[in-house]
Amino acid sequence: MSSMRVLYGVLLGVLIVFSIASPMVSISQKAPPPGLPEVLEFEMLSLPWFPQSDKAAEVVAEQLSKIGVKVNLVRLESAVMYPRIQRTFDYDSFALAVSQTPNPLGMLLAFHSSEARPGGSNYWGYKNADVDNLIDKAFEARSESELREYAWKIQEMVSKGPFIPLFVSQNIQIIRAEWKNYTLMSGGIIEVYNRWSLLYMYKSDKPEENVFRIAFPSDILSTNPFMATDLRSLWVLNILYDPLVALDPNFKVIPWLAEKWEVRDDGRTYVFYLRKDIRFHDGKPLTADDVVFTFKVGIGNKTVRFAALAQFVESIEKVDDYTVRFKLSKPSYLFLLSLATNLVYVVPRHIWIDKPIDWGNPEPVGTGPFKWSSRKAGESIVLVRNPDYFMKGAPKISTLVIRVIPEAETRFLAIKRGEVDMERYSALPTLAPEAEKDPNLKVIVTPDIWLIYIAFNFRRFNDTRLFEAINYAINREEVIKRAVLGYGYPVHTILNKEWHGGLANKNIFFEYNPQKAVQILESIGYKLDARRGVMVYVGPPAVTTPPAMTTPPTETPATTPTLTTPARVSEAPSTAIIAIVIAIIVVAIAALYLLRRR
Amino acid sequence: MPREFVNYIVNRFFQVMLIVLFGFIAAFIIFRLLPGDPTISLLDPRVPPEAREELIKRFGLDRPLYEQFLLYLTNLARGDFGYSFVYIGVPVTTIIFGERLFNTVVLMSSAMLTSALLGTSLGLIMGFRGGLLDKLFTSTLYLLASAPVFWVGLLIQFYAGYRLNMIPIAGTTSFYFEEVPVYVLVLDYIHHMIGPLTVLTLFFTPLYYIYVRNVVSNVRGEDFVLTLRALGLSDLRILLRISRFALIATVTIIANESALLIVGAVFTETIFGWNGVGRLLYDSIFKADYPVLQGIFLLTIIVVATANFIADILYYFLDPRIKVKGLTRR
Repeated sequence: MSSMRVLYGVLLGVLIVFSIASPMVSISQKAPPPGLPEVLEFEMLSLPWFPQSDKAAEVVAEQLSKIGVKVNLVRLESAVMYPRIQRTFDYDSFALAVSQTPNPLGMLLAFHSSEARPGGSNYWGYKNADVDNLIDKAFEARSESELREYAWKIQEMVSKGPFIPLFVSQNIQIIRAEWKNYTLMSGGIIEVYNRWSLLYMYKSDKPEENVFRIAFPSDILSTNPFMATDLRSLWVLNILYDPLVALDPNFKVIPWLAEKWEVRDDGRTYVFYLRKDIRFHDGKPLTADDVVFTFKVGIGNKTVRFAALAQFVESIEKVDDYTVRFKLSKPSYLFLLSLATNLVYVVPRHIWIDKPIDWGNPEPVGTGPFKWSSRKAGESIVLVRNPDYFMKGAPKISTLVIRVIPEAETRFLAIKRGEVDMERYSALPTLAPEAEKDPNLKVIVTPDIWLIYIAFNFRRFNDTRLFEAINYAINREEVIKRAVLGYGYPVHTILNKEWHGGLANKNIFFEYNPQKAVQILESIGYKLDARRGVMVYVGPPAVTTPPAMTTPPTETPATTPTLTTPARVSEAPSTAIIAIVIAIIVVAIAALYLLRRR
Repeated sequence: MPREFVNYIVNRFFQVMLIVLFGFIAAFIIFRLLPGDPTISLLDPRVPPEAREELIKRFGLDRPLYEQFLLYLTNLARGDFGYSFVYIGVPVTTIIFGERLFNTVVLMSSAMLTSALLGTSLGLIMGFRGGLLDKLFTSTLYLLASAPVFWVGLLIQFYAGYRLNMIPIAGTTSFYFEEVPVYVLVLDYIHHMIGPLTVLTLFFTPLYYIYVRNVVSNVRGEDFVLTLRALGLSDLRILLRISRFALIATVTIIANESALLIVGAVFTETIFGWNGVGRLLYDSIFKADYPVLQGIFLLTIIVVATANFIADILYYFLDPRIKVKGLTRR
């Protein structure tokens, strides 16, 4: 029996020693003010099928963990993630990509408080009255320089916000080498904002040999120019129809269906003079009736593509057969830009007059450079050249075949084999080196349409210093290198020079400075809990730093940390830990007593 | 027709109908319980909430569940499977039936036929003979069955298609707009089908082979075989007699795998760009296109029930135990 007693004694002794020694290393936490988390640990939602943003989120999570901000990646299906981001706002943070257009309207609007509602574009819930004011003013800017003034101010304020842009990816376009005469623009050679390549590209002097085959990853969803939302469908509609005005290779607005326009009444009235030589694919001429009909129906029903124009346009009137007058509710340079960038096309009134707005439009008739020929659902679409197109000599391509090939590697093989000439989207960065080696292929690299970003939920965390710190803790170059193998341009503001030119604020720049990030976080009141590896809220530091603090391990409950780099903190155990320790001791003694009775 | 036979058929028919009905009910329940918001793939999030409500009303997603169910059954009876959420305004029947179903059925039935023939005959011979060749075939085919379809497909596409230029890379045809005579189109179609057909045959043959081989090696040890041999029948004749057992096994497998006729080739169709229902299934899951998924599901139920029904009829002729005992309740 005495050996058992010795055993009990040893067990008790070990327990007591442990209970004294272990709790020393924890920090006493305090409750933070609203808008800041207790612990800098965030859940980040991500879409696994979009490797650019997914891998970028991984790298960012790693970088942030180095300064004590823990990010837990949660991969979700789109049908589960989007409602959480767009409707219920049930998230800490997420990583995603937003498609860019030469028009800053969308990006600016996404920071207006009116869009911070279920279904709005302000997913991150940013609310700032001053920014709202600036955005409203930007929407009424009469000229590009006035717009630039407001845009720069907005970017400055919003850069300390929950939206943290990372980079614009690069489009790696692989095309068969025999094709020539395409135009390079941001987005690639055939993106929807680039009408020029498809007009002038050719590979042979014999017209019947100019058959252009392009591979899509999946079939288009709709041929309805009012309701189509996805860029695949819009790509096809973009060459079947024409807009009133278009963009030149430098993203400047130029005449298209309208050969000139006048701005009157201090920017409140736009009068468009249409070309007189335009015919629809069925031979009927395009007149002001078609333009008025299209915009009245589109804006009146607030259809997907025309919704953004509704805020500008008050009325549309026909002046004569080839003249249309738009009266705006407020003068705005963005109206003209939107006409060119929002992918709004003129439809033939004589065909659409008796159809519902979401008519399937199985054989589209427009004025565009290509005419509808045939379609095999899920497999292919064939378009042919419009010989009566108003631009003489264009298009040079005689037949355009769209083939659906779902697998990325298969598309690449098909291009190498010559079964198709190029594919719709950027090739995987891993395929680029192989394509460079092949003399039958050409690799064209331009800025792509995707801005990869991470965003936090402003409804949960609204201290902008937090986001500023995170900006400094992210090494964008490393993210680009690891997420897209270097095929990207780092971006620090919501507008970028690749897509918005001079509207992007060049002065905003967050260099990679993790020490500065830690400093900012500490000044807010966070401290690194070395045991858990994450920063916890302890309260903002005192204004004057007290002289040489020597706090012995188990005595005074000192809670004022210093501003130096985090070290192993030895402070008094909090009450919770003491309670647990006592409980353990009690349980141990009880167990020993009960076991003795055996 | 013997009366038992007719009874048997009629009995089975009613059972099949009941199964199909339960299947329809299950389809309804399952698709209403799935997470996620089905209108996500339909609407740009910037569409104002009124438009969303309008569309929800149109699809009847806001009515109580039992009302939706009744609507569902009546629509099915009329052949209306609803409208796709993703391909705006296009009825589900148009999406599934037509080119896609034709492509898949042609591909899958050819694949199942070839693999059944190959697998059964090989299994028959090897099961009867045994020996080294048997072991060789068995291990190779086990390996083939375990290899992922995706991988085999990519290999064939790369080597046979790209490197050796024997088969086209993807698609169902090379002629999208050229005018060519019909026989050229047919030959071209078959040429495009070789790749996916090979992959699928390689994948399905082991199933038949292993089953049949097992059946045959068990049967060849039976007493009646010994008797036949003693009577002086040649190996070939004995084999022919044993083939009845093999056929029972084959019919069973075909009936079980009949669902694959519709949806069995998801990976293969994706890799080879074969425009079929398998790929449609995958795309629809991805885009949460519930009406199309439901349509495919219901079609599969009908196909499986029918295949099993036919199998039951065939059993009556193949398996003498059914004639003797019958399946009519007494």
